[in-house]
Amino acid sequence: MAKIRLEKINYVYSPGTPFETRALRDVDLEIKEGIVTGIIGHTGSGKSTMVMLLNGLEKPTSGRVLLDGVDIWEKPKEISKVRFRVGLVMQYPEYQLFEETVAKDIAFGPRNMGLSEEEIAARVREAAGIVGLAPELLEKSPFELSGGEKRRAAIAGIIAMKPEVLVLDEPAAGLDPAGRERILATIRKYREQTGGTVIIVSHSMEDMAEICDEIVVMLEGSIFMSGSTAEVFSKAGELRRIGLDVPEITGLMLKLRDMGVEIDTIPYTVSDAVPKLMKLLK
Amino acid sequence: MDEYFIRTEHLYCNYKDENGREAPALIDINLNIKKGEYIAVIGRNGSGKSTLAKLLNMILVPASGKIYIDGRDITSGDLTDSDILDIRRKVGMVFQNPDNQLVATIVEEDIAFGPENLGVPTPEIRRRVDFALETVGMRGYEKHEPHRLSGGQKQRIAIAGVLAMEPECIILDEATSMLDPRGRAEVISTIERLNRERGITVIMITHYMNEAVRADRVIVLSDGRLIRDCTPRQLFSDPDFLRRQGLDVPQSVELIDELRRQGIAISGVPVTQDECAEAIMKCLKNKRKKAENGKDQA
Repeated sequence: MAKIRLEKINYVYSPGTPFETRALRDVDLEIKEGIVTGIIGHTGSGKSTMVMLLNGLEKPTSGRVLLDGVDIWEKPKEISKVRFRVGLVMQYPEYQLFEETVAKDIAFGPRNMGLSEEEIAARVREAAGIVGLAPELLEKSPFELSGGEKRRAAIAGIIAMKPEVLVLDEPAAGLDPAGRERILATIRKYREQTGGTVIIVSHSMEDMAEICDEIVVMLEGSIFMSGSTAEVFSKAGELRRIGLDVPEITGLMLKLRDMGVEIDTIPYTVSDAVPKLMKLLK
Repeated sequence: MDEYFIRTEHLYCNYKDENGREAPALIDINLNIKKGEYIAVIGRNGSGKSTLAKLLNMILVPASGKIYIDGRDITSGDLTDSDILDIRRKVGMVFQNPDNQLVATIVEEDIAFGPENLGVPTPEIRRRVDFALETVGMRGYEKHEPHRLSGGQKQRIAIAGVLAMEPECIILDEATSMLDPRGRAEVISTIERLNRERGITVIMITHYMNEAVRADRVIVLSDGRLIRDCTPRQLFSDPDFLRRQGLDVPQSVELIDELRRQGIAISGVPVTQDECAEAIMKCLKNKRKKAENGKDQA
């Protein structure tokens, strides 16, 4: 069942000016409920425009965005309700932290939803738990946190609104490996605890291989390819032709196959690759 | 004349923590970097990498210890303003965020900004701007507006701005971490060319192990201490050390490590994807040979 469906979406920036740019052209896409969908592509391929359409932050120039089968722009005055249902974590969200304490920052979204103080407090605690922020950090100023902690505090602010769909645009960009691993752990925990739908934009093929069920590849405003993670990464040649890469382990296994080793399905994580090679090497 | 372009002796630096107390950011750093070397500096966030970079560029002052740049003691305290300018000219820096370091509204003016401040004559500035743009592969962008460029292009303009100062060393402080893979590749190949063809000393602070693997030498910082100074090959031959330090292990190296753990004998220290593929092929061939020998004997 499609949680979100895009129908013939076109998006044009600055129409009628010399800077007119067509960011999306005739995009049709289904995002399935309850799984993690990854979106990959170069800068300027339309990924970020697409995620801003999903929660009504931008309106398509033409075409429809359907959430549970209903056009989100059917009642434009109620678009803010869509933003509670589809939570968007933008790039470098920590620049948007502004409250006196981390707890108040996380509470900002739920408070805008008009929830009771009791409910807000419960949600702040729960969201902080999912992103792995220790309770003693909640009373600190956001500016006292490390870069990775700030990032997770910003993500907690969106999770606390209990969206049905969590959209993250480059959630691990600029973090060190430990910080990146915590972001991946956050997404896993969010999935386990809520069963919600997740959409993630990233340049790291290794991270995508690890966390995504399905992957959508964007190229120049259109969908170049989509399918299960295994299907997409098995088409290494096509991905490389458009200047994208496959996870390092996939590249290694493809090299072995080129050297004459018989490998039926090409793995895209190290834990999948090990047993396949052990069978050949033992 | 000093054998080393950069040398530090028992370098300490402190910072003020959130409660206003002094805490150590760098502890007893002893470092020797030769002219023309390509050094990668790795370590988790907060390990002291950026502090080290800022000390070498005189943005920060050490608590104690010595720093020599090109034979000159920059910690002696008797430096004039023009001495300090000269150090910053010799050791240029490129920072993480491409949007925070471009100052002008037109590319060529941005690159000319540094030499103009040094009082370089106009025809010479023109020559330097052209040369810098040529070197970073951005000729034709002279009149463009920096904010309309891609992240990789902005970082290359920032590098061109440093080049226009005719530096001897460039320090990149996570300069590729906000870029997409294409932008990252642009910056890395530019820097490698500068190192190879112009002999510019490069100090590359990075989280990406595939960037560190290309350096002559890797320096690992942890909690303000220099805990390893070795070749990339030596570093990647010890995946447990990398894991303990919260650093990434390249997937190819991780695979080899896991196969060994499960009892497969793999010879050598393969670190790149190609080397790892070849090491596995060798094992497979050996196994086939053994099987054939076994058959012959039977």
